[in-house]
Amino acid sequence: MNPILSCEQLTKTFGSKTALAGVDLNIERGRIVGLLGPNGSGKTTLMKLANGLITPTSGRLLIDGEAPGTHSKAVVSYLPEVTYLADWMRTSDVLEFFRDFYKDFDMERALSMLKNLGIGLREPLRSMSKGTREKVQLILVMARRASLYLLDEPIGGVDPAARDYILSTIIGNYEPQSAVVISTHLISDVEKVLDDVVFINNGKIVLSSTVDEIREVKGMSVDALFREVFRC
Amino acid sequence: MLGKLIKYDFMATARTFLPLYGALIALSAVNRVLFALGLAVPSIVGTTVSSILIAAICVVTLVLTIQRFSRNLLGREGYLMFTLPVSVDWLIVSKAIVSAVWFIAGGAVMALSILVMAAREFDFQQFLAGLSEVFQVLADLGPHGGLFITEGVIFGILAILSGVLLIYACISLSMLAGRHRGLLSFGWFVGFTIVGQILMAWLISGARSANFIAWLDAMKGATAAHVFMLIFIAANLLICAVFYFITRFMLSRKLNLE
Repeated sequence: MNPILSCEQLTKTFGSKTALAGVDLNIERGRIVGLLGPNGSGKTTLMKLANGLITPTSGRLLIDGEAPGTHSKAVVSYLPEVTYLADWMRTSDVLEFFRDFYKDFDMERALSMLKNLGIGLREPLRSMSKGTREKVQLILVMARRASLYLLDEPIGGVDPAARDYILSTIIGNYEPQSAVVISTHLISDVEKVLDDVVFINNGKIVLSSTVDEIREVKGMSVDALFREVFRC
Repeated sequence: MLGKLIKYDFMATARTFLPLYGALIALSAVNRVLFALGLAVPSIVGTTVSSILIAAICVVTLVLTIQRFSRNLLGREGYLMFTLPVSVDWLIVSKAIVSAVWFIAGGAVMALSILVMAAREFDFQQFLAGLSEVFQVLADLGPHGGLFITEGVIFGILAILSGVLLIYACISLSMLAGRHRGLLSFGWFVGFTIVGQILMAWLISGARSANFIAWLDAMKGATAAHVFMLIFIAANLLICAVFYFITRFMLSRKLNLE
């Protein structure tokens, strides 16, 4: 089976600034991958390229064998860093919206997650706290039966208790044939759920490995290795 | 998918427009009663408020055309809109259709409100007589009558769409800059308007020197009018196409969400 996401010599520049420089990367199905790097390393740029929000300067990126487009958007479930839901909508409106546009949206799964977190269906997004909105957004993204989940800093803005719930939501809901890419710099929190890690710095992949390999061969945790690789 | 995009755009905008329209129509009816009762001061107040509401509808229609495009597509909501499994074409087309519908609906509501207020002693018989007169004139024109109406409607819709697409093109071009996007959009708007004026002047002087007017004069009355309308329709179609493709290029190749 072809990798769900593959990059070949992927490069993106913004004016004179190089955000990604010749990235070669394959993400296989059935894996939870941590895309780890310091701020400004190119994580979000890679996520945006995979979602077709920006176009590569050179090289190419394929999702399920195709360049980002209508097909890839139907199989990729993306959680951006920003809150993207219109604040005039109620929870029930955004559920309808997702059901209307995504064939793989599982309404029952979304309703059960909302119930677990005590978020009301009639509640307008306007009156919710930022943290609650982020949870609604994560529920919408994880309630899809997508082939690839791209989660950009999914735990950045929430408290540690909510982090655990979010991570268990991610693990409990992704399909076995799907891949999950989690970009973050909060490594110790996500380490326990990862199968693979990709270290990125200054737009280049500096390490790509399984978590087991890091533990067995290097004899250290991902967090410890990250601190060693990116020591200031 | 286009239908769904249109549905959600209507949902997002109707909650602003419908109360405004409702308020204007209701106030116009109240004004009519005040006029009939001959109450001078309340009539003046009512008319003033109605005028303010009419102005508000004009401003809100324009502002929402700008806002639905710049916020829903190029702001944070764009992260959702551009990751939906729909083409960029449908995103632009849905926005343009909804905006054009509100421009037309706004015009109709304003006309209705003025009709309600101005027709102090509304005579239904007279109104019908007037209408039948209009139809008589059209009937006298034979098949030309229907054609003129069709041309007029097409021209009107295209004129609105060209304005809406001009706004979209200006906002999308402002993505070339990181900051001061609002100011830059306005700059593009002024630029396009100036270029449009120069092109128009150049075309008119060209038409004169090419004896275009004489050529048009030589035709029969109705034919000349049709040719004239078709030229206007073609020109508007061309303007729509130019701004559409600028917007499409910017959204698909130069997207730069805030």
